[in-house]
Amino acid sequence: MFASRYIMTAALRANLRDQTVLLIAGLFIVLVLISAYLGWSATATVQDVYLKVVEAYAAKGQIAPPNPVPDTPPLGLLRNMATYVALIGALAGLVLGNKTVSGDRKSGVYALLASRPITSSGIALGKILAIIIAITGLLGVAALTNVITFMILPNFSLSADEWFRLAQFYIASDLYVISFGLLGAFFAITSRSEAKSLMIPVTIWLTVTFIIPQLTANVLPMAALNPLKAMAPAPSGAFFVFTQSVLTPISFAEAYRALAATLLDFAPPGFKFQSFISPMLTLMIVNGLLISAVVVAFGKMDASRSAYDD
Amino acid sequence: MMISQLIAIAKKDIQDALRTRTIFIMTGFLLVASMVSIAVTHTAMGGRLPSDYSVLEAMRGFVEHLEIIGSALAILLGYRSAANERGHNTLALVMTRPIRQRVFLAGKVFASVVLICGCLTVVFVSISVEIMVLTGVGLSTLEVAKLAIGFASTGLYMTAFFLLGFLFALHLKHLSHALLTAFSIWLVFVLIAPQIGDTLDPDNQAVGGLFSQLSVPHAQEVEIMNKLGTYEVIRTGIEQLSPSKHFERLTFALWGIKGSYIGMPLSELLSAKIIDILWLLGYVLGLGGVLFKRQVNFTGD
Repeated sequence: MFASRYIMTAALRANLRDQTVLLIAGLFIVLVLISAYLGWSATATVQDVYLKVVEAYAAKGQIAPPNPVPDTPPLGLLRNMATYVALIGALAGLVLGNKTVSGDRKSGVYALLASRPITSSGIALGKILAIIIAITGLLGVAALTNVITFMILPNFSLSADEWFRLAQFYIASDLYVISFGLLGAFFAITSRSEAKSLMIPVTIWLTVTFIIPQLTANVLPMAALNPLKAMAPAPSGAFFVFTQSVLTPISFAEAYRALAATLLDFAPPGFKFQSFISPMLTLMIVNGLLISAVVVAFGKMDASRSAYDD
Repeated sequence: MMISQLIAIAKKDIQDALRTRTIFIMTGFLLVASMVSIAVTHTAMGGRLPSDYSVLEAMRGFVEHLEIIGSALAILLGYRSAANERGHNTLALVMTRPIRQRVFLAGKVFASVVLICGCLTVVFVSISVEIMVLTGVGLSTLEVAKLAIGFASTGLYMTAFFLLGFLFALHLKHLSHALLTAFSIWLVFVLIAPQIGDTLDPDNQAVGGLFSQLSVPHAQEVEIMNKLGTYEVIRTGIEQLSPSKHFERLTFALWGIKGSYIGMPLSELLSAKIIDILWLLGYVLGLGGVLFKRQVNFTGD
């Protein structure tokens, strides 16, 4: 246990010194800072546009239809966060997970560790804890930024239930990003080339974010980036009924988006996630499977030949 | 002499790419994503006959996959092209021969353009066949011409991202940092800039479109949007930064995905989209200029 703690601390220190990890984490925090502004700005502009439409109708002596965009609840202003977590958060997780493992592979640390009285599961535990702590820290800074935003904005105050749902949103986001961190670590352990250890999880990320949602609900890739468009209902027909029943339970990107939309109040009325497993449970299962995969991968790694081919 | 050197370097680079199977994996992934996208879009349209819509309209998702996956793959191709030499320390060895840096770089760029064109040929031919099978209608000469122009635009777009990946992999000290820095830039210009522009668009705030829901005619919509002033200038300015947006506007117009361009003569359509073509050319020439201007450190890490 002590050895795992040292491995964890060393990995966290290495991540804090890594410029690439800091660059992507910094980019994520910048987007967190502007996400509330983007939500507020878009909402205010819609009201402005609606008033202009009402004026145009009045000039013709007609009454304008009701505003199709209802008043946005305060948490709905953070709707872009769901996209930024799924894009940059996930990529930051991948990079962090990769760097947590690859640095030691390149410098031959695993061969050294193999000569010490520490088991492979002890190493795995240290690395997994480092990934979880680093990602939770990153999401913690993002959450704090959102909390300060809501405390500063005079027109928006959250009820106790909304604060609770904001906390739940960050727990779900943490689980989602950690799953990518573990995915990055898994391929950093099992790949023979460092380039492939990044390419394969990036390909998986592209698949779960852009290809599977199109199969299950015809969400086009660019629409998947728009928190509102991505929630459009799937077209009717046997094809989508089939793909939803088969793919939605394993589509953890959609599970995260559904959870985020429900918690942050931007899900369309009557929205229901089309899976027999709840979205939160999907995220937990994915994390559980990936933790097991990382432990097994460490167990199978030949420490004496751990360096990458490239 | 210079031409034969350039061809020798390009030939060797293409052989390397084929041997490591990188290009096959990349082409396969893009092909699967594209074919799935067209089949799903066609199914979502209810399998309507082409008389109801432009035959190429089903390519919307395909364009978006080219924007995202195509550019990511081009970065990987650029990374591979430089990493291949740096990893084996052959960069310094090549420079001990009587060869100019610009010939070496031109050989590398030429090889990757050939690989990109090869990858796109497989994808474009496959999706053309898929569209014909799904709709049961052959492509007209004009549609083939539009596909060919779209092919060239995609090649230009992917070359810009190849140059980005190649530049970083050639000049940054650590290769893994190079790949991730190029991906961070890709993230900003391919995903985040269009995402911000898209989510700030008032029309996108209601499912089905705000103006459609309010039964506002297009002319009045333009008038209202013009009144938004600075907001709209900033929003479109953010979108203009993204090469993906220019690529999207060009191909959406070409392939009739944006309804207002259906039926427009090709020459008129191209002159309407000349700004987007120039932006794409500008990215390639700008990045190419930096590549050929900067001195490469051939001593490696």
